[in-house]
Amino acid sequence: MKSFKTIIDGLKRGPVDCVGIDFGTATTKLVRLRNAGTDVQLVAAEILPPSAGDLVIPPRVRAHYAGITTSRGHAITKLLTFPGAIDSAFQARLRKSLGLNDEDDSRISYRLITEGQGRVESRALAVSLDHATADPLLQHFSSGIPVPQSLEIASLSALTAFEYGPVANAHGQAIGLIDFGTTKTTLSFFYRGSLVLMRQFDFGTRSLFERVETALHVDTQTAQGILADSAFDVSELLGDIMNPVINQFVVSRDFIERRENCSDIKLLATGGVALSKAAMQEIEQALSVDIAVWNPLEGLTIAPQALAPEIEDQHWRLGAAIGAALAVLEAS
Amino acid sequence: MSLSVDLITPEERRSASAINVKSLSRIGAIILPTLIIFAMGHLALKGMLTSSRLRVLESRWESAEPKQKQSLKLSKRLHYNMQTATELDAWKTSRIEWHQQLRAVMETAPTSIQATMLVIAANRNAAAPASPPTRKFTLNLEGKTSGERAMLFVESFKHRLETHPATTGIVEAVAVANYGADISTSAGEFDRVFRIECQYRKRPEETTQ
Repeated sequence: MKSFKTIIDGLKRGPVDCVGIDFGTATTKLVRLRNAGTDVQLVAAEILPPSAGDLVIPPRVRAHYAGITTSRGHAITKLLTFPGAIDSAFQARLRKSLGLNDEDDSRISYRLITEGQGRVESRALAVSLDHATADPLLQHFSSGIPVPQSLEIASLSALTAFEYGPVANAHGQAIGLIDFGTTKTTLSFFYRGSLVLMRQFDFGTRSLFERVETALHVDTQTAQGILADSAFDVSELLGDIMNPVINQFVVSRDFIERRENCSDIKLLATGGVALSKAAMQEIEQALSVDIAVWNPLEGLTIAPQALAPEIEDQHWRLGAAIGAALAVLEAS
Repeated sequence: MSLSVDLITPEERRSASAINVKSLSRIGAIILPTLIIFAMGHLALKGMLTSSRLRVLESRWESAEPKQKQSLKLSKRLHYNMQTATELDAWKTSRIEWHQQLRAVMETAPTSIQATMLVIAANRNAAAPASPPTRKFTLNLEGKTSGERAMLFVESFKHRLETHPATTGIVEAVAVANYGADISTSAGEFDRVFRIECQYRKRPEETTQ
């Protein structure tokens, strides 16, 4: 006989309307998505300035359910590869695998990407986020709507959106994404629709801007303009700061080509650095490939007036919020 | 398949639906005890009211019981008196003005007839003692007559008696019950004896009861 809870759960309809909320280091991005059956519609999007107080969600992006994601705090993301199947020992050593001590007060979770048997490797995506960051975020949703359905790391949420668009359209071809965050850059490769490599580097838009600002004695806005339109030759400057990370890009790409026995990897980039022609030229030159800018809205149906004019040229900032909302809709 | 790695705990995951086990349990936890308390209070109040009403009724009964007994006594007595009154009424109704009947006999009897005996008998109905009494009278008149036309005298007497205003509507039937020669020693050849029987209607009439 079915339990009372099972019957009640059966009566419930999963979320079809959800807001993805990306608590970034500088701003909060909100994207409301609706599952329209065959496709997913972007109903509205907002980028809110930083606020110390309560989160006030504009009515146009308000939904009953929320997928929360953040790039704040001390988050660790690792794609773990190990022989054999997942067992209890894996969960026991998960904290150690993430490089956490027993004293670290963090939330830990993982998702199995592929499960191996015998000599075949298993692959799991493991994350941790400190309670000091996670708990205050969830406090915003302790009562009323929206109801939080998930709490994720922004870099992984962006990958969910990337998987929904370019990966789904790659038809098994190897494809990679360079996601330039404010403080961290995430490099991911997908092959045959599955995540095969993910690395994070302590390099972000902020460090790049700071370097330009210091070297050229300009303010942040001017530095952004210089990097965007290549008005000055900053290739040498960029080379100094970006070469270590570019080298890692090359190494990672070569590693994937060898390990997965694939070539002609398509690469896309997103984030603030991706808007800089000069920076992208440096990377393209090193990797000997053309790198397209990924539009996170790819694959979504855009409702009329969903995007306010002030965020019309900032689609690239919505990737994580879209991914968080997509994950909630997919889970239902 | 999304790459979502969820860090939210099951305790933090709420339902946006108005219907969930938790909310139903909470509502039930409030409503059920309230209903039980309300029902118990209602029953207690009802019991108290019933008890109070019972006390009032008992005190009323205490004061009403002697009256009720007295009333029953009076009612029985009334019934008895009414029965008696009905009986007396029936006796009154069934009474016949015999002086008128006797006068009718005198007026209708031909001079050639000599009455020897007149018996009035009453037959009282005893079949249903509860019902009002009825009486049915019979008047037997014996007499003598003489002559060759003696039979004619008797028949004439019977006819006149039957049609006399005093007997009309009262007498049911008049019949010559006996007619024959006088067998007494002193009787002559043409002496005859007879008996006329008058059957009176039952009184009071059944229809009038």
